[in-house]
Amino acid sequence: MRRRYREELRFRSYGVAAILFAITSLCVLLVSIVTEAVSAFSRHDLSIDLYLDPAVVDPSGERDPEAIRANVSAFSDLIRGELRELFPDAAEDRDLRRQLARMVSTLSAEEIAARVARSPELVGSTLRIEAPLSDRIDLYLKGLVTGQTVWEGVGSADVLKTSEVIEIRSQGAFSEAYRALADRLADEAEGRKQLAGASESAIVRADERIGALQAERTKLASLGAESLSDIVRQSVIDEGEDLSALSRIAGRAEASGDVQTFRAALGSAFAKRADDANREADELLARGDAFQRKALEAEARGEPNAETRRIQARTAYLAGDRRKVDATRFEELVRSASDLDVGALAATSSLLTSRPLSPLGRVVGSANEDMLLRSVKEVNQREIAAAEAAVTDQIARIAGIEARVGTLKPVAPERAEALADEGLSAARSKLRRLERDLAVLKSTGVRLASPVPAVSAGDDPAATNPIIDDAAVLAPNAAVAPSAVLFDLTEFLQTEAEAQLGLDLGGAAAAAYALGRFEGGAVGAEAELRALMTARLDRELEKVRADKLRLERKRDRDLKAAADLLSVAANPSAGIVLDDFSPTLLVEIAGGVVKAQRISESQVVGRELIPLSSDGTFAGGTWSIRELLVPEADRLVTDHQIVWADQLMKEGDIVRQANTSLLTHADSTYPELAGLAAGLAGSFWIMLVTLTLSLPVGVMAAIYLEEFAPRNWLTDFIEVNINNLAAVPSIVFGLLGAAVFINFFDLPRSSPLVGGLVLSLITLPTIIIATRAALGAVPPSIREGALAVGASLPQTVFHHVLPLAAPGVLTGAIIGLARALGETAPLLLIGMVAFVADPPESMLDSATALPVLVYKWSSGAERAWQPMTSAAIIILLIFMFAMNALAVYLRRRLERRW
Amino acid sequence: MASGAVSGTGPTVEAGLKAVAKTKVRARNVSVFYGSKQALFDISLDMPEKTVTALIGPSGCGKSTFLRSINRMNDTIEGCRVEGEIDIDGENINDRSIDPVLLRARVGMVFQKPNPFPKSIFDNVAYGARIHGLASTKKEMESIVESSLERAGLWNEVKDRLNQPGTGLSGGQQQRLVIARAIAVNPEIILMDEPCSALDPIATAKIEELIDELRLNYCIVIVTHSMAQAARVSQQTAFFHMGKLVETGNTELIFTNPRDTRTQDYITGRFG
Repeated sequence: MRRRYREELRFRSYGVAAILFAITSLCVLLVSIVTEAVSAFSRHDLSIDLYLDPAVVDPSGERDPEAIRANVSAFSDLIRGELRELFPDAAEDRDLRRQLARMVSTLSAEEIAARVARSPELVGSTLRIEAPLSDRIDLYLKGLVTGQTVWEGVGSADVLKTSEVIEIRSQGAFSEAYRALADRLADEAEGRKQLAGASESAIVRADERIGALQAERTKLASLGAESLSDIVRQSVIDEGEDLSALSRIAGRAEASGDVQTFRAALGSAFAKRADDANREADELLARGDAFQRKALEAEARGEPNAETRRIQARTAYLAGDRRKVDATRFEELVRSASDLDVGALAATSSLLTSRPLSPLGRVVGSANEDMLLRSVKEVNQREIAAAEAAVTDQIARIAGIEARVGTLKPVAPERAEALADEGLSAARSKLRRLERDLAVLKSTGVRLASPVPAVSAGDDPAATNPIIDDAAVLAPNAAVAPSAVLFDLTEFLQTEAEAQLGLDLGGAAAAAYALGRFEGGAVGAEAELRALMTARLDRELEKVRADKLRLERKRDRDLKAAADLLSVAANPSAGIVLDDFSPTLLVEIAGGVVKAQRISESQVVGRELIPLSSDGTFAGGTWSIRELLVPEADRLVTDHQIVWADQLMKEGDIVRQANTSLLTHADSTYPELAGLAAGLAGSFWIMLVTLTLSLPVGVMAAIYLEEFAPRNWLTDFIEVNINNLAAVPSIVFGLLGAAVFINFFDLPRSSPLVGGLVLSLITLPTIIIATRAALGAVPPSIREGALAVGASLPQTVFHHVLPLAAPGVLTGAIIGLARALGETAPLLLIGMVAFVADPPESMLDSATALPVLVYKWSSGAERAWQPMTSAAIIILLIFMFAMNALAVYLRRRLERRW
Repeated sequence: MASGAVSGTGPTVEAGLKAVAKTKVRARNVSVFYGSKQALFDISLDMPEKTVTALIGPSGCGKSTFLRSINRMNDTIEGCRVEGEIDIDGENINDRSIDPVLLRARVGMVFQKPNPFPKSIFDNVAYGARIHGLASTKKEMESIVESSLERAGLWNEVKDRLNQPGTGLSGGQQQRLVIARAIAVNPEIILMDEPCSALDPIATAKIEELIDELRLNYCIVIVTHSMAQAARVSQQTAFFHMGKLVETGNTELIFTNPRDTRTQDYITGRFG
């Protein structure tokens, strides 16, 4: 008994907790939106008397409404003139004039122009106008730009006015403001110190690196020729990490005739391939085992996917076997690499990058093979194309060598002969190899994709690196003019070295080394090699040193700044100098405003933002100090604009009123002028289209499915698909709409018609499901009663069942529509995100919708868009709640008929 | 076997009934299947004019199924199939040429639970007449409604509130309203599927009284669980058991001198 009570209590508390959580999150959401939006529902307007000077407003004197309406800039000029009269001292400075002009919205004169155009007789009279302020000033006045601290002036203050500078003295009156500033300076100094510390540790690391590089360089200088070449050889072998580098080295060595390097490189490349193949084979076989296990499990459980698993297992086994065969082949090659002569090695080198053609391992003849082959057919096609391209390239290369032979012939006939013999025969044998590959590919069509596609870049070393080609061609020629050839080569290598870093440079060094060996006279090449390797180290050194220097400078800068800041903060009598990056400190005194440039505990020196009426001594309480926490450099409103706005506000020239333009204006690029009118109209048209399409279609479809359709596989299929359709992400419908309605039917882009069509597609499943549920909930006794008095099935449905289901149907329809109203993603795809300046007047005009405007505004860069976005969300929510309330109301009302 | 029982008692009963009235509904070898399950086996039964035929038997014996096949209400049930022949005035109702909708206008039906439409009392009664076009003027319609309600014995109770919803009436009144609705379309036959099982004894008495009056004009077939009710209101009784017609005959005979032991067991309350 007690346990039952406890259980009930527990479940009840779960429920209460869940509800509380939901309500709390909803409240937090709503409160955050509302607080953000509140500021957008009001707006600050400049409210002044404006004399409509006929000479400015209507220079022609014809009082032509159209001309007046078009003459917006004249009205802007008038407003600006009026502002300049209010702040005469700003009129003299160009920059200040611009700041003043920017206080009102750029297009604020438009409405005034339109108003005067409607009644031209106003020209020449004085008119009370209300022009929206620019969004930045508006935000400042709403307190969203900067926080402020105000200190009442305690004690009397002496004002000394010299030509430019104002000095205000007051014993101790500024100490609070000064303390606040000094504390902030100390914090900033701390931050700079931390930055310097980070730089310092980076410098230490750079020093270590420099030491290592220098040691390497010294070692390089002291090495003899033999050990130098050993280093190179070792680096050649070490670079075996990278297969393409290895094959490139092998290619170079082959071209230069350095058998040892060639053999070493090729051997390690094969070893690497064998390793890779073994590892991959193991992985594949392990995967096959895993699939096999899953297949057995699935079979044991009687799941239908056992067969699929088994096929997967066989496929993995097959692929693994193939890799095993590869590995064996490569291992053989490694063993033979040390015994083969160069020619035989060269013949096998093509295997480096292509897969050896070999029998298919132990699962030969498996039924999977066919399937596997079919899937690689496509890959095979691509490979054939690549092989064809390689053949063409090689032919072109041969032509290049032949041309070179032709040019050499008059100079050195014998060398040309030799070049033709060696270079051409090598190139041609390669061509033959490529052609054979291609033929095999074409004839069998079974070659699998190369399992290591990354190697394909090294497939033909000459194709990616012209050095080899030239080395092969030039090397035999070196006996004629060794120095010239070496010079050419060196130059070439250097430019190449400039272009590539690290590994490639090492590769070039290897090539130079190989070349030297081939020449027999290793001295010159030795020097080149040493120079190249030294250059590589030097370059690295240079870079690290530059980095270090940069870091040191930064560290010093930070340290100095920290020290400066601290010394300023620690020295109250000297005072703190304020610049654009410090908070702004304003002293309001004698009817004017002074901006502090230097502040100490008893003195402020600054310049006037608004001129003081007089100097002299002012008693405590008649003046005040104000600190704007955001520095001038970090905000878009200048200090001048702030004091002007405050002044205007104080004198009642700025009024705060309801932001009616939010509902009456269309979208604008200026937040203070933007409104939702176009979105509201667009959403209205879209809803109209959606309602007229989806309600009848959806209700009829539901009635047919629920009442008339025979129960068979077709209706089951339709039913399942309708349910699926309801779960399809709405953006998919957007894509569909763009493809079908816009591209195929050629309906106007971003029109409410297309939007409505797309949204009806989204709403339809909801309406169908809701209607079916409502129809199904009508008791069968009603149907039987109607049938029993001789009503036909349609009569039964339309006279009795449908009216009873109506509340459910309407609720479903309205909820579907509410969803459509808030839908954004599909509308973006059909172009409704475009900027629309006028509300649409028909279903075919360009339009936008409420949620799309929310989306657009939310991505607006300016701060003022944030409250606007929230305001738009609130208006959207109001419509949604209204629709849901309507649904509830209709339900209640219609249900009473029961 | 069932038919054997019928034929065994048949001649005398039929002869006796024929003297009173001619056969209105004649069922011959009717079998009903729900999907693959057979619910009725070879039912052959004659229901005479101006007579109340009571169908009795334990739950699930197929009484209602048989009743519903007389006005082809079984058509609305998915997977239901009727074999055999049911004639009304010698016309096979399962014939292709017969429209089930028109048939149901001739064969009214009253259900176990009163199911008035959620409309006014007037509309409830007028609905059938309206869809069948029985009245061309409002006056005619009013007279149809009045006479139907009068015949259903409800007129005096509801004449002042014809515009109030039919669902606001009491259970017994609702059931009489449903009967009025059924007779408003001038049926020849009225089928009643346990019309009193949801009603209190007083309402039941009223309905029984009404059935007795209606008998003068209609062929009535009533399914009931109440033996007493069958004895009170019917002239002919048919006993169903396990989908088979066990015994049929004059009500008095059945209740006083049943031929079949199962009938005896049932009416004496030994099972069911």
